[in-house]
Amino acid sequence: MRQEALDLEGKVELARMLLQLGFKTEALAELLTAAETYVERGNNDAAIELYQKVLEVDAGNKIAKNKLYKIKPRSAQDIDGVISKMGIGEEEKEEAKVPETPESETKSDVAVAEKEPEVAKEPVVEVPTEPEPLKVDRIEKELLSDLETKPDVNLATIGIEEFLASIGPLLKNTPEELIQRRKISDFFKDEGLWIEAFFESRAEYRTKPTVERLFKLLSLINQSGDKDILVTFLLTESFAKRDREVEVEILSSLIATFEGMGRAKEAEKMKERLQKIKGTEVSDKRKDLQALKAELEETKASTEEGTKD
Amino acid sequence: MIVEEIRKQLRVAMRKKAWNEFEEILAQAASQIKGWNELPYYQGILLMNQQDTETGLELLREAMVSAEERNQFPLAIAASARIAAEDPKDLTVRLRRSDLYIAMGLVSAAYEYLLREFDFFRRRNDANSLYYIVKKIISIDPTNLDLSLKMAKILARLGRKEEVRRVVERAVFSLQGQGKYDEAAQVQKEYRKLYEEL
Repeated sequence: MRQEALDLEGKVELARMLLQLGFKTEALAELLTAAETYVERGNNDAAIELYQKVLEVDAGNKIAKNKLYKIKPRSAQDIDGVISKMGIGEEEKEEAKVPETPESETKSDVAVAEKEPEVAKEPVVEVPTEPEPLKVDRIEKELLSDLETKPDVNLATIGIEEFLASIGPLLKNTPEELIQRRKISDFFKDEGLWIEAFFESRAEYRTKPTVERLFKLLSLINQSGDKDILVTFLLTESFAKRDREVEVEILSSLIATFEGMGRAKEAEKMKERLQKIKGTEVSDKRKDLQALKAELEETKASTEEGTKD
Repeated sequence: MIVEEIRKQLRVAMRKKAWNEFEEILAQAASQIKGWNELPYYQGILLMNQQDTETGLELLREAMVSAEERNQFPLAIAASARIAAEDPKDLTVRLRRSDLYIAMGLVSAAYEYLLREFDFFRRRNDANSLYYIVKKIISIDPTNLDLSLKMAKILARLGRKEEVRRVVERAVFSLQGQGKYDEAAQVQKEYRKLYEEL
């Protein structure tokens, strides 16, 4: 039952693929979860990179902005950036550029979203010499108090791994439970509730993932025609540690799925991964052969020595 | 026997999406089998496919309750799944499904299902529903203090200060009641900051 428990690199890779497939929300959730875990582990650089990636995809993402603000080291230049983003000294100019502001958006939101490209081009802000420290102080305080007053309920950072770690030990099905769940799964199949049947059957697959069980699961998802669940399941499975033959089938199914969806690029990626697995398989066999050869030579040598004696 | 045959015919029609045929079989079933408790379930499915969603959902809810009362748990779960698919915001029905698994003695299935629900609401950024899912997890086995305290941490992340306090205090009292005073003090020390810092 650890298929969701991907390592951080796996999560980032999964997010990248989800993004390519157009599952933006899911990809952002994965990126934010990974970034938060990096923060918890004290690897702020990696977290910053991921939060910036989130902002590339979703420029208005408040969670990423807030987190970046909290963890990114601030130099004088960054403060200038903050000032320019807050629009000090160029309000009139910017207001002319943003004629229509939806009422639901706050002024600062619009300022950040619209002015970012300009900040990247050139530091256009002329900060007055005297009041500068006061203004910076005021802005930072306002921003900080804003962060503190809004409850920071960031659901994406409550990772599924965290939740799994809490209830993981409770997810083991007894053989009797598996029998009952098989019956429920059969009932769902009769009722045409394919996805529900899939979730019930998945318990048995997870107890012992075999190719046969995998095929049964895939057939259930195919019946439902739910490509989202198919891709998410296969992608997640592709990062889980499974027997080689199961891994090969998972990747082969992913390739076929991507090709069927006209996603040639993703299919190619999976082919590379599949090739890697097969390569390892060949090199493992080679190692086995080498070991066997060494063993034979050793036996031969000891037999010869025995004959000499 | 008749019931089984009719159920089979209905399922075939449902797979073919032959809703006129489905309706005919259902009308026949209603006249042939008096007080057939599965009737609202299939009527609900029919109405939903005839775009009368409101009445369809109402019938499915009725079917769910009736199936539960008769210990027909798979049917009740199927009704619940159909309601959830049509009306994702019906949290009561969604939470009730975990009770159905528990009633069948499938505790791990209940947890697994709640895990799915947790992920569902997390991805939709629905903190309120997530809160109820976590509460439900705690309620399955309140004597599991280890789990309750882990859940308290998630409740804290959801900003549910009072709920965290309640869970922690309950755990502390429970440990004290068992004479585990050192452990109780340790828990209080470790978890107090969760609600005090919020």
